Amino acid sequence: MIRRARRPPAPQERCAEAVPVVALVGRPNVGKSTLFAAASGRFAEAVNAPGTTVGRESRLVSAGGRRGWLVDLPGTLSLLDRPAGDEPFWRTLAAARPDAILLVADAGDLRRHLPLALACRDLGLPVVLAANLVDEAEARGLELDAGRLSQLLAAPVHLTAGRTGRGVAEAVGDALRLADQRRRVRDEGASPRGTLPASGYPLDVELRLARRAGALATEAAPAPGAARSLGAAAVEAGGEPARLVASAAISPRGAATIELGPDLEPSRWAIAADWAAQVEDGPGRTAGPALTDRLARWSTAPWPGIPLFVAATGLSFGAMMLVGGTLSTTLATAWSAAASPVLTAGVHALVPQPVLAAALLWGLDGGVLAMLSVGVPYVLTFYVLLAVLEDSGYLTSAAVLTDRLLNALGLPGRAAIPILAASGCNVPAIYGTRVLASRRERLLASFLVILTPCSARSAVVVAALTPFAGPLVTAAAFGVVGLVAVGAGVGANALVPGRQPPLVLELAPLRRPVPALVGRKAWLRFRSFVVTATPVMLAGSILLGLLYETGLVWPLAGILQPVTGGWLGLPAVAGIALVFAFLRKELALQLLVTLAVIRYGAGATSLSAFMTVPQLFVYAVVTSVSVPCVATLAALGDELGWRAAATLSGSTLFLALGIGGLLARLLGAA
Amino acid sequence: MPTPDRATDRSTPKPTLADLGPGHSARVVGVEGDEADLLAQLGVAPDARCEVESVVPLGGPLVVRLGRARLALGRDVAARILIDDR
Repeated sequence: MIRRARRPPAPQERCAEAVPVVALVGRPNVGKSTLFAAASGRFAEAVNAPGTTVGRESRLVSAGGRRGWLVDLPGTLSLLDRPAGDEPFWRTLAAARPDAILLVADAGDLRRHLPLALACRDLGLPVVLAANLVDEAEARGLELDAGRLSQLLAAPVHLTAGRTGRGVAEAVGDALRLADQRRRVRDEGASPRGTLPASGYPLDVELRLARRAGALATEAAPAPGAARSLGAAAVEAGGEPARLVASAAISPRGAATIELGPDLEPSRWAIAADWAAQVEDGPGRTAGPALTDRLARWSTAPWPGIPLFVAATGLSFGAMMLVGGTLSTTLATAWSAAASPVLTAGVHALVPQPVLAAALLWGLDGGVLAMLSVGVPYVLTFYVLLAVLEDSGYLTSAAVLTDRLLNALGLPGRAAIPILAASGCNVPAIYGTRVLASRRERLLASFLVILTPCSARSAVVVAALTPFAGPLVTAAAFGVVGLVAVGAGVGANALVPGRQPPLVLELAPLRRPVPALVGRKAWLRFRSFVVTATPVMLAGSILLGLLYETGLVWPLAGILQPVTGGWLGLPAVAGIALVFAFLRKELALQLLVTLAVIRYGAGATSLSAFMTVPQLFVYAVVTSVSVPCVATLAALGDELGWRAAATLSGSTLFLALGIGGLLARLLGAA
Repeated sequence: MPTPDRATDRSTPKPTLADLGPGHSARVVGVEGDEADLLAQLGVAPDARCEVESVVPLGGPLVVRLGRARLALGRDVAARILIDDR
C-alpha cells in the first residue's frame, strides 16, 4: 500500500518511515544509555544518526528478526517534566515519532519507576517494560515476579541488565514487534485507539478523563486516512495534545491523560506502590546495605566523605596534570620533529611572498602546535576523567559536599568539578560546565573558570616572580588573583539576574563505569571541541603572525602605550606581549623576552634587565586575570554563544586593567 | 482536640524534615513551596517514609534516603517538608 505524504520526505524521514521507531523512556540514572549501547552495540547495523537535539541519539537496530530505529531520549521524571529545561518531555517524545515505547525501569525500585510506565501506557502507545539493573536487585536478594507485573501492566515485561546485555535483545525484539504491528495497523488506515485495560484511577478522575477525551474527540474529528506518525503531527500541529488527536496520531484518551497529568500522578504513585508490593519478593526487602550502599553513604557523610572528596579531587587533578602533561610533551615533540620542517619547507615553496609565508606558518605550524600542546592533551584527559566521574555516580556525591560553599557564588555544588579542572586548563572546564542545569549557572561558572589561572598562566606567574622576588611574592600574586576571582564571582552573582534555585537533587547510585561508554562520551565531546576550536585557533594565529611579520606590531605598541605605560606603568613591549598572550598564555613571558631583545638589544635577555619587581608583579597579575586564550574563547563561544563569550572576556580585561592599575599605584610601579 | 489554626500557632511549630538529625526517619505529611511538584516526582509526597542519612555541616544540604533512592535537599527545601509529630 502506498502512503501519501504531504511534502517530499527528507532522507532521514524516509528512513524513519520505512521501519518502526522505538523510543527508550526512563527516569535518570536507570541505565538507559547502557541498555541503548548494549542493544545497538550487539545488534547495530548502521552508524550513529545524531538527532536534532543534544542528547538524542538514534540507531538502526535489529532484534528478533525485525529492524527498527531505537531512539535514546533524555532521562525524565514524568511526561510533564522538563529534563532539557525547556519543553515538556511528552513533546520530546512526540517529536521522536515512536511506534512503541521501551520503558526502562529500575527493577529494584519499581515504586518510583512504575508511575512513568503507567503514564506512557495511558498514551495508547504499545509499551514494553525493561525491568533493568536486575543484576543489582538480585545481588541484594530481591526477586521479581515478571509474569505478574506483566499481567498488572498489560504489557510485556523483561528482566534486563544493560551492563551484561542480559534480556536486552528480547526486550528490544518485543518492542520492535509491537511497533511493527502498530505501524501496520496505522498504515492500513485504522485509527490508533489504544485498547486499554481498566486503569484503576479513582472514579471522579476517570469521569473527568472520559469527559475531556470525549470533548477532544468531537473537537478533532479526524478526516479518514489522515493517520500520520505522532511526530509528524506534533511538528505540524505545534505540539498541543488536542492537535495530536486531530491528526489521529494519538487517542483522545491519551491526549486527555497528558492534559490532566498532574491530577493523575498521585493515583499512578499509589498504583505503583501497590503493584510493587505484589511483585517484589525475596529477602532483599530486609537485607542489610550492600557494599555500594555503604560506599554511597560514606561519600556524602562529613566523615569520611570530606577527606574522600579532597583525595578524589587531588587524584583527578594529579592524573590530569600527569597524563595531560605527558601527552602534551609527546605531541609537541612529535609535531616539531615530523611536521614542522615539512610544513615550513612546503609553505615557503608554495608562497613566494616571505611575509605571507611566515604569517601562514604562524597559523599552520604555531597554531596547530598550540592546539596539540595545550588544547588536545588536557581536554582529552579531562573528558575521560569527567566521564568516569559522571558514570561512577561520584559527581553528585561531590556536589552535595561542596554545595554550601559554592552557593555564595550563586552556584550549585557540582560546579566544583569544572572550577577545579580550570586550574589545569580552562578549555575543558568550560565544557565541564555542562553539568550545570541553567544558563545562569553556566555563565557564572564560566566566568569563575576563566578567572582561574590555568597551568600556563600559573607558569607565567611563577616564572616571572619566583626567580626575582622569591616564593612569598609569588604566593602573594596568586592570593591577589584568587581574591579577584572570588570578588568577581560574588559580584557577578549579584549582577546577573535570577537566583540560585534551592537544591533538590537525586543522587546517582555508585557504579563501576563501563569503559566503552566512557570512551564514547569523552570522544563525542572531544570531537566537538576540535571542530570548533581549530578554525579560531588558526585564524587568530595567522592574524597575529601578519601583525608580527609586517612590523605593524610596533605602531600597535604606540597605541597601547597609554594603557601599558601610563596606567599599568609597564614598558611598551609588555603591552604587545600581553596582546600576543591571547594565542597562548605562556607566550606572555617567552615573547616578552624576545621582543625586549629586539627592542632594547642583547642585554635584555633577563626580565630583571628591563622590569622592576613591582612591574613584574603587575604584569603577572594582569596576564593571569585578563582575557582568556583563544582556545578558551573558542570554547566559550561554542558553549554560550559569541555575545556571552565577548561579555565574559571583556569583563576579565576590565578587571585585569583595574586591578593592574591599582597595584601599580600601590606598589609604586607607575 | 487539635484546633484548625494550629498550623499558624507559633508556640507549636510544625516539625519538618530539617528538624531531624542523621539516622532518624519520619513519615511525610505535607510538602509546601515551589518545589512540591518536583519533590512529588521524586517520591517525596504525603505518606512517604524518609530517613535523614547525613547532614552536611555549615548549613549544607541533607542527604535523605527514600526507599532505594537518595536525595540531596537544601535545608530550605527540607524545612518545607512537614513530617509526622511522633
